Amino acid sequence: MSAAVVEMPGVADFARAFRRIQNEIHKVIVGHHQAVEELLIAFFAGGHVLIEGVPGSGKTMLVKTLGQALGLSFNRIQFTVDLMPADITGTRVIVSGEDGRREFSFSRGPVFCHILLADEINRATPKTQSALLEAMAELQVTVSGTTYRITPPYFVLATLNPVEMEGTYPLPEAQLDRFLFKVRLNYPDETELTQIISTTTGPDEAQVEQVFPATEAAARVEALKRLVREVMVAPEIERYAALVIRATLPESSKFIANKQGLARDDAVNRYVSFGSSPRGGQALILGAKVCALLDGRANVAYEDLERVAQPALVHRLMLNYAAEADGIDTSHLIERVLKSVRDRRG
Amino acid sequence: MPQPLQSLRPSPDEKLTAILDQIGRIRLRLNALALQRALFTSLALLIGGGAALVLAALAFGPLTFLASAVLLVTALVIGLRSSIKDAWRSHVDAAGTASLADRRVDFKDRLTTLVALAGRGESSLWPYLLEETLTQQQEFGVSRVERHRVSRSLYALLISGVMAALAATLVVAPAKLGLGAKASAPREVNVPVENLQVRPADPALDPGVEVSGDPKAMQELAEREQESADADSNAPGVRGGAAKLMDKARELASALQNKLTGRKAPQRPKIKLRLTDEAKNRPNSRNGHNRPGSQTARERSAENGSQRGEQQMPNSSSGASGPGTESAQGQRQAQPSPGDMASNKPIVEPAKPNPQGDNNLSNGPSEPSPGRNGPGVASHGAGTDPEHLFGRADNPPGAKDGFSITLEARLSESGPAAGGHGYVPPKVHSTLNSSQQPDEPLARGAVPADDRQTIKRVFER
Repeated sequence: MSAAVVEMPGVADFARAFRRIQNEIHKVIVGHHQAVEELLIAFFAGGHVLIEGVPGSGKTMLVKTLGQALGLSFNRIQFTVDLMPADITGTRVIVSGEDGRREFSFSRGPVFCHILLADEINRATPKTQSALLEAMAELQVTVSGTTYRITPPYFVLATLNPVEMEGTYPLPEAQLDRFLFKVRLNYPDETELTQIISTTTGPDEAQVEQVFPATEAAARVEALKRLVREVMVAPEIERYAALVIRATLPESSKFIANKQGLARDDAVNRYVSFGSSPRGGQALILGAKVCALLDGRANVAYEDLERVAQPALVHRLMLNYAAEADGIDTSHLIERVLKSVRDRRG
Repeated sequence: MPQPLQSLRPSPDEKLTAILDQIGRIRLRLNALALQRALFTSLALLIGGGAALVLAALAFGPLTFLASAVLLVTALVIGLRSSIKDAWRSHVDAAGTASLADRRVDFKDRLTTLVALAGRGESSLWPYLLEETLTQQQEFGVSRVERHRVSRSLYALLISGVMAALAATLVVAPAKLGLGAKASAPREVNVPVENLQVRPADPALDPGVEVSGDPKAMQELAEREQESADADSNAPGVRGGAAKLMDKARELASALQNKLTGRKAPQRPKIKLRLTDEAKNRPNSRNGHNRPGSQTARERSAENGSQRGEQQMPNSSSGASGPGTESAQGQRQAQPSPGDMASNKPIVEPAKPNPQGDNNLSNGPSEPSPGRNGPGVASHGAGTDPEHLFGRADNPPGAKDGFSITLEARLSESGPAAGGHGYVPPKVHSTLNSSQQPDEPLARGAVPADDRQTIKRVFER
């Protein structure tokens, strides 16, 4: 790859590139500013994103535009009940050689790309859903004992349709945990809707320009991702992230050996059946690092952590039936957790 | 020539040192403020608490004062402890200073990160962080992070100082104006003495009032006194432990109040009632109620004169060993105990009745003794009408009849006690008259004009 020739970007380069990508996306996507920003933060933090939105809210368009703006390869899988794992990862097929010999050859599935859109992932069976696990976590696919590497950058965006829940398979917690952020696409407001109608029904289509040259796009993206890792975090802030994660754990959980520093918040103890995993802490810090760079800083601040807390934790907190009965929202619980930890910090 | 230019630019270590120095200066100011706060708050608490204690001593009675003092001292201890604890908590190290500075100037935790990661420098963005922080050095200047050089708790100290000044004024001003004694002394003492006779004592001698009465009244008075004394001192079963504790607490609080306010111990009504048997005195008295009194006065004068070494009237020496002396001894024996003093009872010093029912005061001085106590001579004592100072000693009508009065004694700042010096009757030189009758008054002209006024004033008193 051309990664070696790309110079290490600076803090200003990062912010500039980020804003350019954002602007390109908003040429097509109207509104959803926060969702787009969170999506890009997760992308540069090296994570994957679960997008939840009603039909027609522009999920697919968003991902497609992102691929176009970055100049990266883009694939889309429409998850259905009869989708098989091999349909995702690829399979071994018999091919005839030039000399007429037939042999098994691995045919790469749609998972081999830079940006993958797993549309309506909850419509596939858990077996198929879990086919993505290895690719998402380790950037590799193992088929028939052979492991195939996926070329970075690799970014999975899975969409969830919150309506039409019949015949769907909710994602297992293990798979949910592998998504760095969960981004919600809400209904556009009146102005945005008017603009959407205007831009999508006219004769001209918005042209998305590539931010990076196609030849070095992947390398540039990887360089920016490495820069994110260089952002410094004070131990106090890391401890603060750990406190936030610990505060999401209910005291009644049998998996907690040391209950010191757990949440005193009654709401958490009452409504949360499982709190965030350690991956939640990683998501907080990585997302905060991107936010720091966007702000032109080389260090993470407390407010960066709080800025990404919602998308980083909202899908990691498993609420119980009491929460559902009482109409408790996960976002509300996260706000309470943040407030309690903030108060303890003083 | 890039090298000279590079040498002019500070190295990352120098930049870090500059930033850490500035954080050190901020830390110095913050810790100085914490120290000042501890000092000022502690002093304010001590001074204010002391002033409040003095004000409470001035405003409340002993038991209320004691309770409020306990509360005040408790609050003071808690306040001192929390102020010291608070100051200790406000004491910051370098990391704490950086964190505080970050928050106060909204520096997005740059300083926290710098202080925490100083020396590690593993990140490629470390120089960027140093440079960026150094360029914004003015943003986290000492005065911007903490603009106060002196802790605001100084105001608390000033307020407590005002309180202390107010308390001092309230303590000192009444003492200067002489209002303290009035405030501390009971205003009125009522003593029912029923059928007793009362007359002013000789102003030249002890202050107080002399009381005479019939033997029955005397005996009743003596019995009451004895009962009161027994109840106060010799009956432990009568007064419970709680009552004794209350008494002790009251005494303690009172002593503390006096110390704090600078007041002397409350002035008890020093009313000394000397009992004389009116019935025994009656046949010998020319004025009905002045002779026994004058006799007793002479005896007391003799006793006091022997104590002071002063020269007294010649007749007083013969009375010094008489019953009047016994009366004086009885008076000394009946000195009030502190408990009596605390109970604000008027001090009544009755002579103990003898088994025959006679008052011991009636034995000696009131017996007629022409050789030494003739009429006219004895009438120089107290209680004589000034208009008839040297007149005939007639028996007043109704002198044989007893009567009863209620003695209402009030404290007075004027009186014999305030005078200081006892009155010494002047030596009157009179021309000898061979036909001078015992009851015949001396020639008025023999008394000097000044002395006459003095004598008149004394007897009017």
